[in-house]
Amino acid sequence: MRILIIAILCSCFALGVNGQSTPVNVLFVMDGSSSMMKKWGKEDKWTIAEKSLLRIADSLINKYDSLRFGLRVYGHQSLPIENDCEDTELKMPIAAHSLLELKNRMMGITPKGITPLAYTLEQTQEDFAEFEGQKNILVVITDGSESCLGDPCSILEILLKQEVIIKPVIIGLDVDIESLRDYHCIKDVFNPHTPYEFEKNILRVVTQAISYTTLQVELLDGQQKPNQSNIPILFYSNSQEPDYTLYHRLDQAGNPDTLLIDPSSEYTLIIQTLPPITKKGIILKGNEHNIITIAAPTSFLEIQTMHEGERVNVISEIPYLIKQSEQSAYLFSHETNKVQSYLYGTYDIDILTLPITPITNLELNQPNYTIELPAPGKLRVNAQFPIHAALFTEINNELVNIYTFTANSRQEILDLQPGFYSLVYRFDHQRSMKETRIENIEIKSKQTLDLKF
Amino acid sequence: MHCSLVKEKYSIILKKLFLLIFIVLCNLSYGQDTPRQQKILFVLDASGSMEAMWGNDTKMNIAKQILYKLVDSLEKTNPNIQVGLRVFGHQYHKRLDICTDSKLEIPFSSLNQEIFASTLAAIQPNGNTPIAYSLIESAKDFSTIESLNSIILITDGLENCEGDPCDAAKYLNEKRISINPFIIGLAIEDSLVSSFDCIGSFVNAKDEASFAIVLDNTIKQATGKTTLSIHLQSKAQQTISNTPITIQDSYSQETLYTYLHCLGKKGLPDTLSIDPRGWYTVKVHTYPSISSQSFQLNPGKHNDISITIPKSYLAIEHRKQYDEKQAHYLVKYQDEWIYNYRLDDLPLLEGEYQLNVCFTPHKSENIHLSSDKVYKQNYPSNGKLSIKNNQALRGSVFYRDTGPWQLCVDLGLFNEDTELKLQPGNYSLIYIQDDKYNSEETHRYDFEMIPERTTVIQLR
Repeated sequence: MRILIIAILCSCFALGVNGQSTPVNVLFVMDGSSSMMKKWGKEDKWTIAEKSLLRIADSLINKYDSLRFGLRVYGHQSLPIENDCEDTELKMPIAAHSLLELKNRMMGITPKGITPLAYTLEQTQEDFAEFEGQKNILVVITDGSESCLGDPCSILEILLKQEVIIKPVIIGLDVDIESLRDYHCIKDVFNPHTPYEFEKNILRVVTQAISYTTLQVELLDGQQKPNQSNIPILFYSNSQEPDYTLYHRLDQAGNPDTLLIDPSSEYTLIIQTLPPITKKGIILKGNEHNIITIAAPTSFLEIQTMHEGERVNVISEIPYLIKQSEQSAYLFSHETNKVQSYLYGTYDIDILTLPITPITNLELNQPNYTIELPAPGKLRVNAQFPIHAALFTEINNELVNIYTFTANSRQEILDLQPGFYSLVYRFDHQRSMKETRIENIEIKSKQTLDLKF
Repeated sequence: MHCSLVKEKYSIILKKLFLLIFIVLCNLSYGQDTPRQQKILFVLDASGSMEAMWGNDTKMNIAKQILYKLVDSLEKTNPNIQVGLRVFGHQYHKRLDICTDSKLEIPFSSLNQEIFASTLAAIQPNGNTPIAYSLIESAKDFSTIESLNSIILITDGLENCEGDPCDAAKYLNEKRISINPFIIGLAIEDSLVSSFDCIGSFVNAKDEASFAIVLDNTIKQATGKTTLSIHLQSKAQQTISNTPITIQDSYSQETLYTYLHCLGKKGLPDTLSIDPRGWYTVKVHTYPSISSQSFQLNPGKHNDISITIPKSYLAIEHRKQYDEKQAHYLVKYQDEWIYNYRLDDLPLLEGEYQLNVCFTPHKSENIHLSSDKVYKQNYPSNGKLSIKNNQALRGSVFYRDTGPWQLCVDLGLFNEDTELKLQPGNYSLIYIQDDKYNSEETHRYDFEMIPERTTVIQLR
């Protein structure tokens, strides 16, 4: 028998969004069967579980002002030989107890019997009867599978069908696969293999189970259909560190995956498209399923280097900077011949060719967009003596100096866009402006032009 | 032995080939010069008032005699000059009030004293003073603007037709047909002198003797060499040179000359011989470019123009030994792009620039450059991120600084080892196996990039 922890959130709670003010009722169900006396690491399992439970309770009391909790134990009254399938006892009814009370109630217990888990789960409904409509949480710490032919999973399913459970959590403690099968209906199964992992994970899992509510984020594509997905979405309750970093996914039925989010904070949701979509002031309702719909249509953009209608591989990809047309700051930098998605919108792109290839007011409003960039050619200048030089070209009917050579250089190799250029140069030793020479050249895609002076 | 012979032959062929290329290249490139041929058009007033006595003779006769002598001396000293003669007001009597009374009496040709003598002898002062009309008509007289053209207007009075001589002169200058006309006034009243200012350089000859001197000086100016020195200096009076400059026609915007600015042996800008016609703008091709104000040259003289370039310097420090590729920088000045493989030595000016570098994440800085100062910008070296992966994953890399995370690499769907160059800092890799439908399966891996160090993320 192994330790198994099931944390079940029974979300049969009343109105109220803030987890701080809604009453939270936690019922701990502890396994008191004989196998709990086995050593797990340095201590026996009961001791480990007892200590952990106290730690969890301590932490929860501190975190939730309105927390009430109770304790039910099973398998601790009769010996295994008696096969007592009703060996379960509410040791401490749900109330605002202190940690000390819990400690005292646990002190006299000695594990000895079997595991009537299904019967125990049935009884818990009565334990919660008084708190109908509140945030009731069932935390089951158990040491393996059912002993009395009951089906714990069907009990849990009833709770699920009544929509009182939104996130059943099982922490299997180094449990074999056979034992986990009892909980096949539960989505999340945790199975820590060491006392250390157990310590580390249990509080987090229980806290999450107490807190979470469900949320679907619908991302609309260009057809206004919620089919957009595979985008990181980040939830911030402060400005620095996101509380949730999730990849938006569609489930097998093609619906946005249901996320479990702590409703106690107000969030800023950032959909990490380019540019990101920021949705501030998101308040989740703790007592119902939340749906947020955000238009996030994206377009896959690729700048392809082309020559005579065919794609050309360039030795080093040409970077480009992209910005939204109405913004002055660049949004992103990327490279040619690589696909990148951007939100539908109007963009300005500066492709870092020589001269710059600017694309202004590019309307991205379809799923795929390709820009054809003429593949660059090369200019190789070799001078016998040091030269001063500048490369001019006509841009918008104006002669523009697009490249100033390093002073006194003798060799330069430039990647240039196909077109006509004027290389203006003068040998350094020539001391007259009249010695300035102009070389009119044409650069062709993929070709190298050699100039020797 | 045989082999070396082949080599030798080959090298001769190569040499010939180089020579050929050299010749071809020499023909491709060309120098720039000012026009050589010179044309002077005399526009002579033969209106009725020229009949008036001036000293011992009529104004008309004095003008004729001096012109005749001048042609004689020009013929001897400047055989390359072509001269033409247009006369106005001589065909119709003043009473007829004809405002188109203007005629090219001697078309341009090499100087011929005899033709001048006979033509001048036949002209009798008669009618109106259509100066503007004559100037406009003279545009046709110069068959080409390739030659260096000038007009010398000899008159004793103001326009008495509807035309505006100022507009006419402006037209000639803008179209680079001729330099602003030289006007020699024959004893024109002082109160009227200022009316000629807008037409061109006016000199009033008070008497017969001074008329000869003025005409002679005017000819010297019209035929003399016009030169220009362009002085470029920073705000702190540092001399600037080797910058590309273009000289443009201020009106047509046409680029007339392209030079790399040069200092002569004494450290002074060298002297350009330049066509004195028209209005010029000197454009210095810094980033951004600076243009001088539009200016006119003083013909036949040396001219100096001084342009202050508030030059500034940007020094980028980025150790790139670790990066195989050169970082790409883009400098923006207002809406102008300046892109270079390197930014050192770029002729930048004082002002606000936006400095962008295509690192990951991209860097963008607004910097202020001050004149005569060096702005130092230091970029740390990149670190390398090596993701070892053999599953189908979706992933994104975020840069974590202050404020929300910044998406800096969208890995999309990837199933192999991936390497990224990232700027130093804190990052998070967010990834999910592509066969997982549950968002909660998203993994997060935080890491720090250290310059010139490799961080390995093992996802295999």
